[in-house]
Amino acid sequence: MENNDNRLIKIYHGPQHPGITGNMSMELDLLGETIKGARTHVGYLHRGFEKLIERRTIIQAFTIVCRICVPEPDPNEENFARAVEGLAGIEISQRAKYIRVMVLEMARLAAQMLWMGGQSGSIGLGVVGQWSVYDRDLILDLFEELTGGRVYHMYIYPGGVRRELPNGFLEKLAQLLDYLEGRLLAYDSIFFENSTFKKRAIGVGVVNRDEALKNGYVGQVLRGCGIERDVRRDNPYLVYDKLDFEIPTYEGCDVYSRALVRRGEMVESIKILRQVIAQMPSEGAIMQKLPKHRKFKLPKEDIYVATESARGEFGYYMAGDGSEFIRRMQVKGPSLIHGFTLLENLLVDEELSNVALIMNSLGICPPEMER
Amino acid sequence: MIEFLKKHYEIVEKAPRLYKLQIESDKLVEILSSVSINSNFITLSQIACTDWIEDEVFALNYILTTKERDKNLMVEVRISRVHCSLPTLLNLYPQAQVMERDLHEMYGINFRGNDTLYDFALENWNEIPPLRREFDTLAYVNEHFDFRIGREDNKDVKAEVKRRKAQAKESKDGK
Amino acid sequence: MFLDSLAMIALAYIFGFLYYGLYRNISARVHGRFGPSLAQSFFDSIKLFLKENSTNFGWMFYAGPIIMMIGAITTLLFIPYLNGSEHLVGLSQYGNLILVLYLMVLEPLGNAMGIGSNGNPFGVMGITRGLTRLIGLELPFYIAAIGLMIANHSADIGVIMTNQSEGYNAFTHPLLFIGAFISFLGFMGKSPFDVVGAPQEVYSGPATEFSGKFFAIALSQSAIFSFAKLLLMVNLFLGGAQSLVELVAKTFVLFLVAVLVGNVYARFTTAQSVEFLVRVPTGIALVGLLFV
Repeated sequence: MENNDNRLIKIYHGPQHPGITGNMSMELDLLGETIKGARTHVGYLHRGFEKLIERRTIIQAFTIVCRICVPEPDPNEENFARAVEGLAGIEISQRAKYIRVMVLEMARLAAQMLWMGGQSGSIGLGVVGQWSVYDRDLILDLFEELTGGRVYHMYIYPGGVRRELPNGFLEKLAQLLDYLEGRLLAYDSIFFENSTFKKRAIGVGVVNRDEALKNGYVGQVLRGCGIERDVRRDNPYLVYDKLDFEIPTYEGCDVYSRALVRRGEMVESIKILRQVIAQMPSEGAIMQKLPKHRKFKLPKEDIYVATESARGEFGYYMAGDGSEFIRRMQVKGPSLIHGFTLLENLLVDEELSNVALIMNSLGICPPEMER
Repeated sequence: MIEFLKKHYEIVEKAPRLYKLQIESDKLVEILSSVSINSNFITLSQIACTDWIEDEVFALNYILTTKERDKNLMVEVRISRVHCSLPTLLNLYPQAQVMERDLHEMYGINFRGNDTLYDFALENWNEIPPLRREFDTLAYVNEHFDFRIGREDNKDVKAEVKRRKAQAKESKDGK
Repeated sequence: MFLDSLAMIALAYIFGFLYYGLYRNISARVHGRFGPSLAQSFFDSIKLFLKENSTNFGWMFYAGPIIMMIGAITTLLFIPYLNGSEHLVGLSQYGNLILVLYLMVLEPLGNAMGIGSNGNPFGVMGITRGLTRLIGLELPFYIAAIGLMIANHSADIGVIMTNQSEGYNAFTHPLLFIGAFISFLGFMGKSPFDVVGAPQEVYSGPATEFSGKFFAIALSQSAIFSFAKLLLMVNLFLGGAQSLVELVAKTFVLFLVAVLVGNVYARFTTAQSVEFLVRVPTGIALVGLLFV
């Protein structure tokens, strides 16, 4: 950025900084402690996944896909599986659909817990992060029992899921949900009702509601502005049209409203998981019969699929070319637009203290911005 | 809304709530503005580019979403791989700025009117745009990077498996 | 008297670091984990003394921590440890409360002079925050001190201590105590007023460029200063102490309350801190002044 005013200092907020979510850097022009210009720089986590996938068969690409988004890998696996099923014309069983919904909602809960730690850490409230990361650990223990991996599961594959549920899994999940519901009250008193958090968060990072839909904002940014949109209800996939859940919406457009939206979503995730446990079909193949790896060819077509992750709508564009390789898979994460178009404008005339607060509240995740 | 679009353009329904439209590149801005104003596909969700090297085209899909976020429309434009240039959509959609920057860096497509096409994820990149099909990643890696010391005894898995199978077969035949 | 003063400094150093170790352990238990060993802060400080400096910015940069250390030691020596005893009095008969309040400003001032000489923008931001926050912190504390001086007709800390034999000032002048305690939280560097070295905003603020021995000096002065402030609060509001054991008990209770309050609150920004401090504890202390 051109710096014509001699009083402006340029600092780099990142890439190695306790106040950013992940590994990116904000180039800030400061007048005292007020930001006059902001520019986002990414590229520290560019792993070249989209080029790698062009030389990989479906089973090989599947191991790469979950690593695109670090806090919440499962929507990536779901998008990939649904795109391949859409291209190849595979139908999966009801049981597999319910298991996938269960995995996605558990991942959403774990990601919201991690967000709580990040958001509270950005304002100096370290207690919440320690508690929520422990509770997230209990969810990760269940994931390890189900899939073998704590963070990267590699469980949702085109055609269904890869393993049957272990014995007693649904009972353990039900017990964990009771425990987490009790914990939400503790989080209310330490975090959501904390007077200092409210003083920091109300009126900060206010998004312009009128251009939110047109500019492509997704997830909590919309729902925190009073606009009720959720891919699970508007463009439903798997069995979400059979499940009963609400979409929490708040009118403030600021950091506090977005925090309350996420709290509401945690409650709704627990509700959905209880319904899944009750309605899980006891019969059905968990995986369809698929051709062998080198013979699993995709037709020369393209498709676009979207899933609602904890941070917003995740979109995948996939094109096949008649061979066993995927011709093109392009990822559009929820924080691509938030991290560039929205963040650079929101930070102007903000204080330096609020940069970490706003970035955590928008859910900026650098790995999915630059793949 | 879909009925309006179906009257004026040739819309194909690829899946429930997913539609596709093929247009010429010189009508891009005109058709997209008309779709934004006259139907409720007001959001640009993604600009996806595929390299069909065998047909010598780039196929760009502009994926539009409705205001209710319930339907998606893929507007496909095919441009030449050699003279790849398109008008920018920055005036219609502010989010196009970062998407066009990404495609410019990865494919070398020039978006006329967008003067913020500096680097996105790569720094000091001196080769051809990497997502083009003719960019050979293996050659690039072999030219620019060295293997760490201690990897000399790293054997090729397939060759090693073949050798062990042959050895086992030999010992079985010998018995 | 020389041995007396040395004993005071040594006790402050030991108790300062011990309390810092206790702070880490108590905070860890609140978080649901175990903390490091109690003597960890001693080991950290000793390790830093054995390392060399990695940066060199001229003599003013080194003068900063030394000025802070001088401020810590002189503040300490003018506060008597025990009530009505002739041991551990240091220089307290030569100075009074007003002098001690003046000397407490040497810490942010020394910091400012040291960091201002190297031009690291994060350090400069940290010290501007520190000095701005000081305006807010000083107001309620000085009003409470003035109230006590009026009530006791004396500025001598010893006299204020002895006059509490009927009842602690914390209970006879409760509003002054509340105003002073809120400001005391900021002086000890606890949330919600710990904006100075906020790691999520300005890396470490003033401590960004210190390294090696001078960093060790800065940490040690921080320990001594914390103990000095605790001592001051105990003498002014909790009646001083007759013996070392009572002193340790009273300072520990005050310290514990400060740590627990600091753990549950988030951090205000600089402007919000000053605005809160100038409104709430100042108002409470002013009302308390009316009752004196």
